[in-house]
Amino acid sequence: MNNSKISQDTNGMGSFIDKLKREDNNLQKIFKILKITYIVLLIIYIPIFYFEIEKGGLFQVVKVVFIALGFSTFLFVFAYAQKKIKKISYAEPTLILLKKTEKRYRPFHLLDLASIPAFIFLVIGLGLSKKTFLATKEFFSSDLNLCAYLIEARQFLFSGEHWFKMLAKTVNEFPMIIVFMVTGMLIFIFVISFLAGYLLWVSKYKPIRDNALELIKEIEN
Amino acid sequence: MVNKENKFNDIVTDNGERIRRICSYYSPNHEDRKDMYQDILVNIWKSLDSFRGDASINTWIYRIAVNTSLGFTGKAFKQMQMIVDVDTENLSLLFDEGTKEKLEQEAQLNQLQIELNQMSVIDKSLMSLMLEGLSMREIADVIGITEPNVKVKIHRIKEQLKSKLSGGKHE
Repeated sequence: MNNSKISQDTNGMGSFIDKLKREDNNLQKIFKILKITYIVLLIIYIPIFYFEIEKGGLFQVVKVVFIALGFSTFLFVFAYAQKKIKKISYAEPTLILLKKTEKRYRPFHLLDLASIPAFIFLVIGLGLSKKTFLATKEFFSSDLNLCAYLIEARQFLFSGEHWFKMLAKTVNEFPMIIVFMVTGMLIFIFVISFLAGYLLWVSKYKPIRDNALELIKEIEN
Repeated sequence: MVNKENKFNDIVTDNGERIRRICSYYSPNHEDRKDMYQDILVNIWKSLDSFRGDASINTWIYRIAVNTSLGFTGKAFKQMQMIVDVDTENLSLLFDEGTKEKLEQEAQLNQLQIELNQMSVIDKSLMSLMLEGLSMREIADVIGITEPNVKVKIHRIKEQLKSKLSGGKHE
C-alpha cells in the first residue's frame, strides 16, 4: 500500500506516516543528545582528571574517583529510566499495562535512591580539598562547642567580616563555618528539590496512579 | 523503516474499520473519535517493533485500542459515552431472541443507551469487545484476566442490563 492509501485510511490526515516517523526520530534524538552531552563532559573532564592526578596526592585521586562515580551513577539512573520509558507498550494486556502504570507513577522508586549516593559522590568530589579535610578534622578533635560556631555563623552572615576568608590560603585561616554553610545550603537545596518533586507528583502524576489503581481494583473485583 | 512502514500500512488497511468501530463505542463526538483513532494508530506504530506474533494480530490490535481508549478518556473516563445503535453488529449477543426487535423501539434503545453509559469503564470495554464478536478467550487475552473471570463479568453485566430494562423484575 502506498502513502496516498494510508492518507485515505486515516481520514485524510495528510502526511500521517511522517508524523509517526517523527515520533521515532524524537526518541532517537533524545538519546543522541544524551550521548553527545556525556561525551563532551568526558572530553572536558579527562584532562582535568589527568592534571588533578598529575598534581599527586591522595586528595586529588579521591576527588577524581568521587566525581567519576557521581557522574557514572547519574548516567546509569538516567539511562535506565529512559530505557524503561521506551519499553512502554500499549500492546500488553490491559491489566498488565495498568499495573505497570501504577508502578511507574509511584512517588518513590528504588532506583531514585541511587541518585542520593550520586549526589553525595559529586558533593564530596567537588568539595574535597586539603583545606576542608583538615578544617573538618580539626573541628571534630577540638573542644569548641556548637554555640561558638553558631555565633560565628551569625557574624559570617550579617557582618560580612569573614567573607574574605572564603579565599583563605592557609588552613588556620579557613573557617570551619564555611564548610557548615555550604553543607547546609546543599541540604537545603536537596530538601527543596525533594518537596518540589513531591508537589509535582501530587498535582500531575498522583491522579494518573489513582485512576490506574481504581481500574485495577475494578478488573480484579 | 520501509519494512515497518509496509507492515503498518497493511495493518491499517486490514483493520481500519475495526479500529473506527472501537472508537465509535467510546465517543459520540466525531472530532474525539478522530483523535482517538489517530492515537490508536500512533500506538500501533510505536508497538510494532515489539510485535512478536505471540498473540493474534486481532487480539493485539484490540489490546492497543482498548488501552488507548482508557488513556484517552483520562480524567473524564467516568463520563465516557458508549454508543450503540440498532445497526451495531452483534447487538443480539446481549439479549435473548426477540428482544432485539423490542430494542428497535426508540424508547427501549434510549434506555439501553442510558444503562450502558452508567456502567463502569471496564464493563464498557468488556461490552465493546463482546459487541465486536470476540470470544471469551480473546477478551481474556485483551484484558489480561482469566476466561472464567470474563464469563462471570459478562454474565453479571447482561443480568444487570436485563434487570434494568425490564424495570427490575428480572434478577
